[in-house]
Amino acid sequence: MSRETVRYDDAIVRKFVTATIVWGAVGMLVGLWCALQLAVPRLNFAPYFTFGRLRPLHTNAVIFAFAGNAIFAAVYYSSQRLLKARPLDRLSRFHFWGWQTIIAAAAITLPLGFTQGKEYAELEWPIDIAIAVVWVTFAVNFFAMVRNRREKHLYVALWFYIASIITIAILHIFNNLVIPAALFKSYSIYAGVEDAFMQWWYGHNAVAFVLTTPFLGLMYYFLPKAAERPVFSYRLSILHFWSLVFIYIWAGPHHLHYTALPQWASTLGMLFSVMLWMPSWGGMINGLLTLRGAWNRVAEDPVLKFFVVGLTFYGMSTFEGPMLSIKSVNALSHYTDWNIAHVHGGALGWVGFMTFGMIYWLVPRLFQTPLHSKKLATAHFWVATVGIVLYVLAMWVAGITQGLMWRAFDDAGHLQYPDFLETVTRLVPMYWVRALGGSLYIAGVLIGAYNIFKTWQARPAAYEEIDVEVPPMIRAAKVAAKERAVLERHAEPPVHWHRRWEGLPALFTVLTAVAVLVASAFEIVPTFLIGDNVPRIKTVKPYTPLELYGRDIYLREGCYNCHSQMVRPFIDETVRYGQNGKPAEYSKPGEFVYDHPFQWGSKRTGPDLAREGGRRDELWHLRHFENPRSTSMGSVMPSYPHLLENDIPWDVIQPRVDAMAMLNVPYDAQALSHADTLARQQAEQVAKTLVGNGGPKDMAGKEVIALIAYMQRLGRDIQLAQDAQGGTK
Amino acid sequence: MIRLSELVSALTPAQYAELSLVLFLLVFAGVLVRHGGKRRAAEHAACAQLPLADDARGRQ
Repeated sequence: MSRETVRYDDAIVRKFVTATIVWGAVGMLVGLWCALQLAVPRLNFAPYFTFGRLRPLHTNAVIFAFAGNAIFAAVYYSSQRLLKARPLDRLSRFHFWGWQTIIAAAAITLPLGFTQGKEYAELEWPIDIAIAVVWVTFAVNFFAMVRNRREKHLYVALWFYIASIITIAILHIFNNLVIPAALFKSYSIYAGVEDAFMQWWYGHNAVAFVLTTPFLGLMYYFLPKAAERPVFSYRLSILHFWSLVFIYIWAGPHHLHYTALPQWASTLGMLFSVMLWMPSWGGMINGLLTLRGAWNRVAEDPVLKFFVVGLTFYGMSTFEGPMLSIKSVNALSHYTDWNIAHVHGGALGWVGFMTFGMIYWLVPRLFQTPLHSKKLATAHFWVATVGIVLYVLAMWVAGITQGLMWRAFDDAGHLQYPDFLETVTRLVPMYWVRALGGSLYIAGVLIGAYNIFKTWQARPAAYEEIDVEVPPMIRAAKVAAKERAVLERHAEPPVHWHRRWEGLPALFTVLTAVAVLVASAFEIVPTFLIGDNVPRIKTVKPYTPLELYGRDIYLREGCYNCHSQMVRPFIDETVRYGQNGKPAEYSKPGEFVYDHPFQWGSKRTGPDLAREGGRRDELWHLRHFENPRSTSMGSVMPSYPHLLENDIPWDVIQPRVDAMAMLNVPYDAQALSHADTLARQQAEQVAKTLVGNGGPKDMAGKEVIALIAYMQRLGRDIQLAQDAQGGTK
Repeated sequence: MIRLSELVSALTPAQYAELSLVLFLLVFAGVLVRHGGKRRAAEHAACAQLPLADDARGRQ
């Protein structure tokens, strides 16, 4: 057989590895700052550096910049070698610089308050379009390698990459469908229950197809390399892949237990989450058993240390995740710091350690010189491991404490901790331990960065480029075989059908996409099309133009990072969020039909706000926004003095109302033509009430008035429905 | 002409859930039957070697 040569592009891998380390350090430092803000609220610097604006920056930086760049490094290094093909250099460069530009755009726009208001999907529509373009470029580059490959069989790591590429594209496009109201302002096309469903279909699968499947691909390639032995069971890896790809996509609704989501969808999400135990643990066991006969090397090799602990955290996280999805457990854990513990066990332990294991394995090969210091790499491992343990333990304790305190009743049947603040201040010591754990983890990263920098300094003056001998391209070989068959009137020998699939990447990709899309057909489509999923409530009306602008401030300041808007059907919640001694109504799906996007939240650092309207007067809200400690001693909420200074930009209100009208929000003719006038009139009313409460004058044109108007609207419509029912009776 | 929402509403949500579980079991059983036996042990062993044999020469 004739031989060809290929020169692998390691320069692109070097770039992505460097970006992984740089953005990883930045993203984690922002995370540490956020952790400290919860212990010391003075560390919030309004308007740009408050917790609500920085937390999305932290999550986006760690998920898409740190993990994203690590994934690209892994894909470019391993795919070239598994396929024996080089990517297209121009596309690689565009991919790298495009992705870094997107990250820089996120780092600028998120502190500025440009956000879609959906967790992990905060970036506004122009950046979303850029992400789609760069992602497609990556996909084209990857599939060009597949097309030009010299190895017929697609190794299992490549299957995981293909599933990630396809699914992330689907998730990103569908969850980010919006109607723009300005260059950096848009509204989700979905509302309320449907938006929640789409968001957590996306959110959960961002965990699955950004933070899990690409790292499993990484594991299936780099672990055998580091252990110098093949994966324990290739058969198990096939089972792992298909089960995971089929099951994962269904599990999203477990983020919405006991909310206004229909019960059937919630239960289905729980069942599939529990089923995830099986493939996840299969994968973990497959990884750990790959080290059979090599365990003695774990003691001395930092790369294997990182991989073993990374895999162990994969096992722990994928045990904890399904457990948290069980409804009775979720009733306690949801909205608490337990979720923060869970996600950081996965992010720091699984994603972080697999990434650092890969980097320590790659660096000597990429920089063509031995690692500067094995001792420093081992120090990185131990410091970071202690950091994770402190972090996760602190958040477990905080989460369970919080959940139990919310639910506690005294002997007389009253809430034992009726003041929500009691449940906040109790957690502050745990927040300090978390910050210490995070600091240790970051110290490890900085040790690693120094070690890698020193290794890079010892690189040769010019990297040696090696031409690797490879067989001819498969597609060229296919053409030749066909020609031979015609000449010889002799068909190709029969090939096993699964081998044929694996050798036919297009069909394989389609089958993977079908496995993922089948969940949409059975879970998402009925949610949207079966009308009685969301029974309408007559008294629920669209937000007024001023309230709409106030809601936009709520999104801009990232209030959803700490406050939910969802009273679950539990006695402790209906009692806690009731008014005048009467329990509150639990939240109904019909309340949210005009909520583009939904704002149910996922964490209660502060209390739920679904029934906030009318609980307190306007002056209380103004003082609270100006300085939360003035009304609520011990509050960890940031101060928002700029809301009392910023003028409402009246001219932006009409385009926003028009955009909502395009989403079938039934505004009347006056709102569609004079939204700003209506907003000014309502602002005057609110300001007048404020003065009546003893508040300051001349507030009518300030942003705080719009936010107060929104706060006072929350939960009012359902109250009207109740009053109407009471009247009828 | 029948509307898509009417078509989808022909089944109850619970039936969609049941159908999806059956579908998964079929996929799982299919993969298991196909790859569970010993017939393809040699093929799997060869595939598992791919990462270890991916550099024809040169540094590792």
